[in-house]
Amino acid sequence: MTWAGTIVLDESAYPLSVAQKAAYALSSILSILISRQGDALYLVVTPADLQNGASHLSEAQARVLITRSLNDFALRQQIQLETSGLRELLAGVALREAGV
Amino acid sequence: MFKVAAAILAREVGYKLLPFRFLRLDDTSPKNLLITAETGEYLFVSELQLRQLVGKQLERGTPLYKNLLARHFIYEPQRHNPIAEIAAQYRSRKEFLFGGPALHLFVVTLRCNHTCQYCQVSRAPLGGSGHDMSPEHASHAVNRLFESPSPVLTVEFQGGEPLLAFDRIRQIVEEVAERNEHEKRSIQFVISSTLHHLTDEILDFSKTHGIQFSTSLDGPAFLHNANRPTPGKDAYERTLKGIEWVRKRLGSDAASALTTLTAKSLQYPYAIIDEYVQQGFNSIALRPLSPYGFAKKSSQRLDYSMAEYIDFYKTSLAYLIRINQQGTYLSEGYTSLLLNNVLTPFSSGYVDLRSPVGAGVGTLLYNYDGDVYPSDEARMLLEMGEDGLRLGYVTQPLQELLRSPVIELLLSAGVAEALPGCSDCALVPYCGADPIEHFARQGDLIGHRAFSTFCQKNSELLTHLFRLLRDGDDDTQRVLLSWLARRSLEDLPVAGYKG
Repeated sequence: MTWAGTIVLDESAYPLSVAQKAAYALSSILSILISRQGDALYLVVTPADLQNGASHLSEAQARVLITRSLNDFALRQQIQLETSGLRELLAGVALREAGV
Repeated sequence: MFKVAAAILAREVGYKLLPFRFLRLDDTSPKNLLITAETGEYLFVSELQLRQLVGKQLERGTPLYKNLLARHFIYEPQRHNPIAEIAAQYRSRKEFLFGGPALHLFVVTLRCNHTCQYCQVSRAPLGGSGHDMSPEHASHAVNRLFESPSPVLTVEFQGGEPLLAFDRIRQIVEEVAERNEHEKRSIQFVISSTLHHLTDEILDFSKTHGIQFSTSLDGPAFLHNANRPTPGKDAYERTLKGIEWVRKRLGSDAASALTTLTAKSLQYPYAIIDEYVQQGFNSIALRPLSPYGFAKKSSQRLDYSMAEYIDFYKTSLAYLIRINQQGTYLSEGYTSLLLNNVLTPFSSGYVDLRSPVGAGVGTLLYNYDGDVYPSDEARMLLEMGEDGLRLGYVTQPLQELLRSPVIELLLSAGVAEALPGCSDCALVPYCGADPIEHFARQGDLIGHRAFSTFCQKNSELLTHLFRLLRDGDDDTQRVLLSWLARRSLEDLPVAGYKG
């Protein structure tokens, strides 16, 4: 049995890039369409494909999964913001002579 | 008193985060989060510890704090600048980028006596003409080989069945050996062969030049012969005879074997492994079918889902660990590569697990007709009608080949750390990008990781390995260490004082 649900996000807590990464990561099991209205992001969620086992996922389970994924990507973004530029600096120093 | 002082000091001095990634292992362990640093160092932490780490709530001096500091997850800006040491580690892990192509594959013929349904490279009939490398192309390819600055080079002969063009192999090896008297590189020769066409002359020549043989053994006779049909229906017997002959003449380590797995093979994990034990091998490589060449055309009959392969692999790995604990040394090749990537500061050098991409940057393939490709897989795509990944012609200088738009295209899709789905993945320090496989399977060099069997395979095998490293008993851990050290359990030193 298929279903469709909507999750509304405050964009100041969950930026668009976080929502997009969560949608990408879960795309084998959930189809998530993102739209913006004012300061809110609307995530319209449906099971992705019956062949991929998404039929076994209830709407409530999907909501838990999406929430966890959103929070994980928000935390990753926090880590990335704090360490911004360090990855590039490291790669630059380490690979200076490789020409890549 | 000391704890209070340390906490105050931590707040005063503070720590900062270094780039790291995390992954949920989705299990019941209290430490179910894997965190990995840019250089591949890792730790298992709890949800609470991760939140405390990011929220700057960790107390200085605690074991976790010291661990995070030592493994480059955090640094203390007022105490030391870790950039130089992390960059050195990062450089070690990406060392393969500095030497230019080191693996040079020579397809000396497409002719073959087998009619394997899963053949990845297609083949020409035994007596077919126009499918052998010319002497001129071979000499040009040797020139390209030495234009690579790499101090360590591997020359691998492939086919078809390369021993059917042994005169070309002889020419190439002799030219390489002569040039190397001045070049002084470390060069390894390997022939990938069924070993059905060995002669005393070939073995004498191989002994003189230290040539190694890599063959295919798909399991016991009933499996090997089903997978690899020959007119005489005796592929298994002839390959075993070849292995024995190579070992007798060149030494026991001169022949290694790979297993190609069809849907039928997946029913026989124990029989396949037992066959390798019986034949005295110390390594087995349990490879899934590739999405190239004839294999794709026959995939309805021969192929299986990645989930089925992973189940087979885990069953096989458990059995391998068990027999190793009982005193037989037999390592699994892919797990050994992954262990090297996880537990050492160096890359295994395995082309598929490189980022930036190994194809072209680390490997070149000289096809029988003079065309040059960035990898064996790119050549396999050619046999499926896709010739867009050709770098050029063997008469062109190496620098010109490496400036090909194909290399630029591969690099644009070949840095895993920058790819969608990979950039946030905690497994990326140990994994690769493999744009050619994604092109073959998804028609796109970047591909979508949520639907990528490459991603599914490596994610599941790496998380399985991490669980073994976290939860495995001492005996399991010692087996894995013995594979990493390439030593049997009895030769592996025991940690601690043994007095």
